[in-house]
Amino acid sequence: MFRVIAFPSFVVSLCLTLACGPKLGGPAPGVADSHCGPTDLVIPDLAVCHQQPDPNADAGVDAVEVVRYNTIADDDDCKYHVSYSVTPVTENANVSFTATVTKKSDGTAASGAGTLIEAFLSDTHPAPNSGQTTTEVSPGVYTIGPVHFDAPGQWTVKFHFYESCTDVADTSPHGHVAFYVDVP
Amino acid sequence: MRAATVVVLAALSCAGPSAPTLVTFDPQPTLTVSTSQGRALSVFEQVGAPVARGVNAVRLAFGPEVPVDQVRLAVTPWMPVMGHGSAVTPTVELVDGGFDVTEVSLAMPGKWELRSHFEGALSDDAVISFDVP
Repeated sequence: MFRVIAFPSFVVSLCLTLACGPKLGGPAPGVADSHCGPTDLVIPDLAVCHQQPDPNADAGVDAVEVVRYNTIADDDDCKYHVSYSVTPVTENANVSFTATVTKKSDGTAASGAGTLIEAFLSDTHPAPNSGQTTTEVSPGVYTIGPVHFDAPGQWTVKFHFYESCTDVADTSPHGHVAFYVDVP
Repeated sequence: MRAATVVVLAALSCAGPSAPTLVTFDPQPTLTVSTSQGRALSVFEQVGAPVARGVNAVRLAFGPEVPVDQVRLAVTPWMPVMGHGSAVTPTVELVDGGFDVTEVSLAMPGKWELRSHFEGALSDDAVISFDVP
């Protein structure tokens, strides 16, 4: 009892740290991605970037999205290998991502991909507008941010590549991969 | 006891719901489109926030000759040249005879469509196109 009274500032400081210190989140740990086998690789072809869809074709519906764990995965179509890092993740703070994108076919940098992030907590809760910009800091390496997570939970962070290309041809450079990110 | 009180107070002060976002729409429509049944549907954008990449809100309204009290609206954002939509389903609320459509998440630039399906007291469809810079 005497010690508590003798060092009240220390106690208060410790308590404040425990109670209000930053609770850090980040990439959700889980099963490593291995969905692309050697025969699944697709070589992106810039020549079909602007191929237009058949105007009479049914638009269809979105394919079911598979969300990956950790920070390394291949894109959904097995065109790119993607790894990322992220600045400390907390609720209601601006976060920056750095994504490294290489072509799976030859391991070279996927440059000029204009990588974007789409982040959402649920199908009714997108991340708020945050003035997100992308900078290609070196070939195939993109810093993207800020991304603002405005609620706790397991968010989906979806990276989009070559979004100026249509997604008509199977070999279109257009691609995406989504990861879970935990926000405490 | 004092320390415990500080912990509790500090913990309580750490979290709190964020304030709801107020949305104000321009009184003049940005565009008017015809529905598949030939009705005129006006589209209003937010004051000072035209549709852009990111999260948007729009208001859709028929003229006063079309009662909408018993009408439900579902809106699907769609990129026709990409063959995909948005991961987020917009929220629709009937307000003052119009439909306030919020959480319209348009993740990338390009041509987007808001595919709008009305059902209930009337059945109708409309496609509203935006070129998102």
